[in-house]
Amino acid sequence: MFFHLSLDHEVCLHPKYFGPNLNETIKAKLFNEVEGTCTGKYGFVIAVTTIDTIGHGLIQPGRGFVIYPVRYKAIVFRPFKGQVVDGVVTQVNKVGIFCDIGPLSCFISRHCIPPDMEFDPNSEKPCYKTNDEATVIRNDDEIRVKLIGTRVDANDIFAIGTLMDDFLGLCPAE
Amino acid sequence: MSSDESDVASIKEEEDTTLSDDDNSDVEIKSSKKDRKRKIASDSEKSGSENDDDDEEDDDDDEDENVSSKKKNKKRKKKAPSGRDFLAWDVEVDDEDEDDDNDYDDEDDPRMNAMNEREEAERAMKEMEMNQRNRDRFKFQNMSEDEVQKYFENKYKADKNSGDYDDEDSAMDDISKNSHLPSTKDPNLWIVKCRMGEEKLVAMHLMRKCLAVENSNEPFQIKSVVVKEGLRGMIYIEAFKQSHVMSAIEGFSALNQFNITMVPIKDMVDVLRVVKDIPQLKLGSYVRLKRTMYKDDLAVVDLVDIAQNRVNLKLIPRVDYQRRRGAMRTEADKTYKLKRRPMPKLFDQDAIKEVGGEIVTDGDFIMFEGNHYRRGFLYKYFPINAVQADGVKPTLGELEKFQESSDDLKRELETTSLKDTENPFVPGDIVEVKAGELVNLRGKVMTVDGTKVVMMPDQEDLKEAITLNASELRKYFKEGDHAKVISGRYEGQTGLIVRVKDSTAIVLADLGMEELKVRVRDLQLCADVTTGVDSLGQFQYHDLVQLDHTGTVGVIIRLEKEHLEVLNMHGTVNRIKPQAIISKKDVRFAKVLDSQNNSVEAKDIVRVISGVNYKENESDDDPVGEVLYAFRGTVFIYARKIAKNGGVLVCKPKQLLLQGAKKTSNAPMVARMASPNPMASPRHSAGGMTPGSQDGMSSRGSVGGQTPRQNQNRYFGTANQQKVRRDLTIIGKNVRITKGPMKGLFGIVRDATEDTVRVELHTQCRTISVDRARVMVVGDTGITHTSGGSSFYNTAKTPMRDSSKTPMYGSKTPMYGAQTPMYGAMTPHAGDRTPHYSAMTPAYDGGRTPAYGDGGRTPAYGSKTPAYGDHDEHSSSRTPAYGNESGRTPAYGNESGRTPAYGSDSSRTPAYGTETGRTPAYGNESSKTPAYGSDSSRTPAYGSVDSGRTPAYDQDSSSHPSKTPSYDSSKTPAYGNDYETPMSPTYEPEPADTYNNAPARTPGFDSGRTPGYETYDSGSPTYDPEPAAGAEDDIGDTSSPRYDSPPLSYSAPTPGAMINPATPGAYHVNTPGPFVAPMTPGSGGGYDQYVAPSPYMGGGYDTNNYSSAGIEKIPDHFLSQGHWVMANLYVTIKEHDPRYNDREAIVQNVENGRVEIYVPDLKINLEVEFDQIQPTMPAAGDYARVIFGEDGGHSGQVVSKEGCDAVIRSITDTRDMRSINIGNCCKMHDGVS
Repeated sequence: MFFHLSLDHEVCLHPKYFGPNLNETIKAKLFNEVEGTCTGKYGFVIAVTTIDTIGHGLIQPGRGFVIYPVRYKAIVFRPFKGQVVDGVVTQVNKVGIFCDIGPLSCFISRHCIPPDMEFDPNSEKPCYKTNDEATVIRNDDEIRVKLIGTRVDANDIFAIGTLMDDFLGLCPAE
Repeated sequence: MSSDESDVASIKEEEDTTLSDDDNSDVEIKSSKKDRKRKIASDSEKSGSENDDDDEEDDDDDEDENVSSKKKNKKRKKKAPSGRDFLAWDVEVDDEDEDDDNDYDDEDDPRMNAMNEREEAERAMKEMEMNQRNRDRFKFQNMSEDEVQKYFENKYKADKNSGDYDDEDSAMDDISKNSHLPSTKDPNLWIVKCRMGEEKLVAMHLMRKCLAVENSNEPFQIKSVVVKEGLRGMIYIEAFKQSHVMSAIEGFSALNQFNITMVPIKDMVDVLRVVKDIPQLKLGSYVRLKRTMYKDDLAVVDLVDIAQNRVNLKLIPRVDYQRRRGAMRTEADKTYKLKRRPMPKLFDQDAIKEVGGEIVTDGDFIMFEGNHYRRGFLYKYFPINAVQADGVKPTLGELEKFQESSDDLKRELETTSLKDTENPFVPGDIVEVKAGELVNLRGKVMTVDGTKVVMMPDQEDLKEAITLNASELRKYFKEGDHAKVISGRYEGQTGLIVRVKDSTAIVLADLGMEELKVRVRDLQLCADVTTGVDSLGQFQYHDLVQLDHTGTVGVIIRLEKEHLEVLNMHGTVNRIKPQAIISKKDVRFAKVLDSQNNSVEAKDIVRVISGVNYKENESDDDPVGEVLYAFRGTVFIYARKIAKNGGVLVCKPKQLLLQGAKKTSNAPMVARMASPNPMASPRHSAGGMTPGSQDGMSSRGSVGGQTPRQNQNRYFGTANQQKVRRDLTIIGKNVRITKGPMKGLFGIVRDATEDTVRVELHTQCRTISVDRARVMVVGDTGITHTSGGSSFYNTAKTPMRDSSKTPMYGSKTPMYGAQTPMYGAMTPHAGDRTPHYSAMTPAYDGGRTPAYGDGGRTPAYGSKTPAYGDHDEHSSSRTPAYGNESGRTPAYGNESGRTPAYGSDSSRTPAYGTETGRTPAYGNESSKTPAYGSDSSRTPAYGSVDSGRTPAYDQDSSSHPSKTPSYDSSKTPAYGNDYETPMSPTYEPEPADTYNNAPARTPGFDSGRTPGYETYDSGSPTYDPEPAAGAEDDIGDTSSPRYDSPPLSYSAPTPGAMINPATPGAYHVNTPGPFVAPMTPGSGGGYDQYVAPSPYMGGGYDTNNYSSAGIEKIPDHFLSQGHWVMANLYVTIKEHDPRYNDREAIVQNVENGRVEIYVPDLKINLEVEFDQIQPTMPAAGDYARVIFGEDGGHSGQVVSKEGCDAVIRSITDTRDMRSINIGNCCKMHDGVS
């Protein structure tokens, strides 16, 4: 699920940047440090939309670095259990399917793939397919997954998903 | 209930009219059904109100009731005892299933109901109740609605009438229970010791005796005899006095009359409390066998036959398929004795038929040797006591074997899931009711008390906690729950639940992306996300550990409760105990070269481009992972996307390609190595360096034209200093301490770094640390040089030897051999240089080789000549002495075995041949370079060096690149000169010394070979010094016969097979980077690049120039750093154009790591680098500056020179006279500093 949140971050700046472009540098550094990261609490920071305030810098004793507290708004992606998402298959093997949902990697265990779909290691690309080959899931396919669990680490989120529900599985090509 | 009957048998003395109180006992029914019926009737009539007390009360406490009944009996001793009544198979069991019993009775006794109905219709309510015995509930079954209504009306009307009675009734519970307990007025229980095993028999005898004497004068006065099942060696007798007991048991030999003890009143209840110890064998439950061939095997209860005390079990048969049967039987089979029980295996009809067994079908079963089999399982009766039913904990593996279908497993798992553990629940668990009315109700465990679980249902309407038995519950997990495995094989792991199937759950482990099959009851919700088991004792996930003493290592890919799974370097997974691991390995800094010769080390990202771990399908991406460890020829990679082995792959470096930014050039690595080195002079990081190193690595051809070659060595030399490394080159040598309080003492170097050595003193039993500058190697110093020189000479001379012209030459042969390792040590270097040779003028090259030059120049070199003579004796005859040595060195034997190639080589020079034989790089090179072009080019080079001194030689060599015999012969005189002139006796006396020396060099040799490996030190010991010598000899021997063999096999010496596991190519490729690293310390550094590969030569340097002992050696690294260089100093040029080499020069200017010097002899200015110059020692009368040591910076005039000390008088202060080791001084142009 996507959220637009107000978040805080501290940008630590080397003294050499103290100059006319200070603010730009802080912004650039903020984007650099924040976008694409993941926190367990808020999820993946997709993009910073606005920078609300850049606080007063605090010079670090003995180092000369300055820390600027920055308050910004960002779009974050936080997966939840039970959420239905679309993903792109990145890997197919006998234990299951790995797919990427944007920055989130998700694993769909063989046990969570409908039993009528079987793993076929012999085809050109390994895939899961039904007996009549009506549905074939292979690399780079788009699938719709329901997340059944997330494991939230300090700086990463991992999800497991299932295809065993209505309307899940291969997204019909449009 | 049926099993209870044997629990207690009590024999009652008197008639028990209310025996039927406990009509739960089916024994009773069995024994006297009619009797009971009669009694019930009479009971109800006679003892109406008295019995009411008990009636309303459920007979939940049989024991109490029984006691009470006994009490009552005593009050009414009316009837004479009859034998029939003596058997009161009264049962007192603390049993939970009272309800069952009630059911049983009710159904079993319809007559009761009939009677009750009649009574109800005919009699008053009160009367009816008396007869009813608390079975009102079931009464209604046979009533119409009206009847029921009427019944209740009557009942409560009656209750109103007798309100006081009602109160009494409710209070009855506790009081009656307590009043039933034995008091002091009751008879006591006496313990009588009994002969083991005869307890029951004695009881029967007592009963008979009782009957016999009941009508006599002395009837029994005891009240009862109790034999407790399972209690061996004693019986209880109930009596008022001990004397009554005594008289009763008189004449029983099985009873001990003299040891009768009384049971205290408070313990009496416990005596008769029967704890159910025979487990309930339910169908389908799992048991283990205690005896027979199937001991400890798991079995499933198929049928329980209580009557026969046996149970039919289904288990996996252990049939011996080896033994022949039936017609195929032979004599031997008759006496065949099974040594070990056969392995459990599903019954295999075909195998039985093969050995001649006869199989009969019996309905669904197959009969074989009296046993029944069905679907592979054995169905067999076992006595109940051969079966252990409690605490059976089948493993998943065992359960799977029993799995005929998934349904079976499901059923079995369900039935067993909670049996073995008492109560697996903890507060907070989500549970589901699996049996009873509330089945499928989910809730959360609030509290746990023994086997009772208080659960808060997860239903809106149910607001109150429910107490349930643990056995009625199972844990409930949803997919996606994060759980921890709390027991079993995977204990401690955490993961996400992917699927819950029946009683098993599939958990995707947090670590390693693998799926674990776990029983649900072994799981526990794990609120916090843990990383699972990542350490076990001292071991952690992804640790590199050594598995055995042969050097097998592996990476831990899974940690379990008591086991580790280790992926070893051969790609196989071992499951071992942590104790089996020898040690953890630390190879963080090891590097290997990938397929493109990029340096790869830990934490680099690499792509697998070939080999077993290569992608299976074309369409896949190449596996990409992070290097965990690089260890020798093995790289462990962690690829996240790979599920197998937790993502850890084992690859050879050649199967890898470094990902990303690093170019094929080695420069980045170099830069990385170099940058942190504070000691490195600026030019090291200069771009000029890179080509040098690159050349060294890959493009050898270009080396020739370039000078930076030396940088390369120096470069690595300095880079090396960033880390303290053990300097193997000096370890094991005899040294003398030349300075400080320990000055003059001798010792053996036990350990060494660049700066300090640990010296074990000969005189005192201790090991001290000494500054490197303060020790001097004694004994073998000169030899290093000589070896270089001599091998060189060998090359030139060999043909001579071949032609075996003069004894003298022959005499040298062994020497060549002996020396070869030294040369070998250098070879990698030589390998680097070869193109260089060819590209450059030979003279130049030769001129640069200080070792060479040194050899030529120094007395030390000459000093060896006698040694040659010594060897001569051996060698010419190829004496056993040599044979011995070669015998000692199998490794070298191998090498020499390989020497055909070498032989071909030796068509030129044996010494050379040996080199190639040993040194991969060299061999490699020579095989690459056209014919002997390189060689031939080299020979002149050598010659040219020589030529500095022996023009004739030089001439010859240049004019005879083809190495014709004439060439050789022409050389000989020159040679002879060389040897003769510098001859010095120091070396001569001990031929043994030669050997010592040779060994001493060997490490150097090794180091040359096994460059980058961290195990460098461990490796070197294997190269025993003597073997080395032997080997050399060996080679010398083998070489000569093959002397003429065609050169086609020149490249045959597969150097890869040598100590160095790397293939020649690989080896060569390695050379620049790692190779230098271990070697450089202590080596000549800037002073002498040739020395760099083999430190010994560096060592030789001192002795060379400052040949007398006691002159201090300035550490090479100091010299190479050039801090000492300043204007006005006299220096000697090294490693420069031969024209300049060894010339004296005056430093004009020092700038940016370059030194501008003036050569007075030639009257020219030159620019050199620090490592191309070395200080010139002052002579008496010269001005000198102290460039090293305590007095560094002091300058003055050398007043006199005494031994190794120079007396220097300061120019500024003429009174300041200091005695300074001349080794630390440098000649100055004039007094100005």
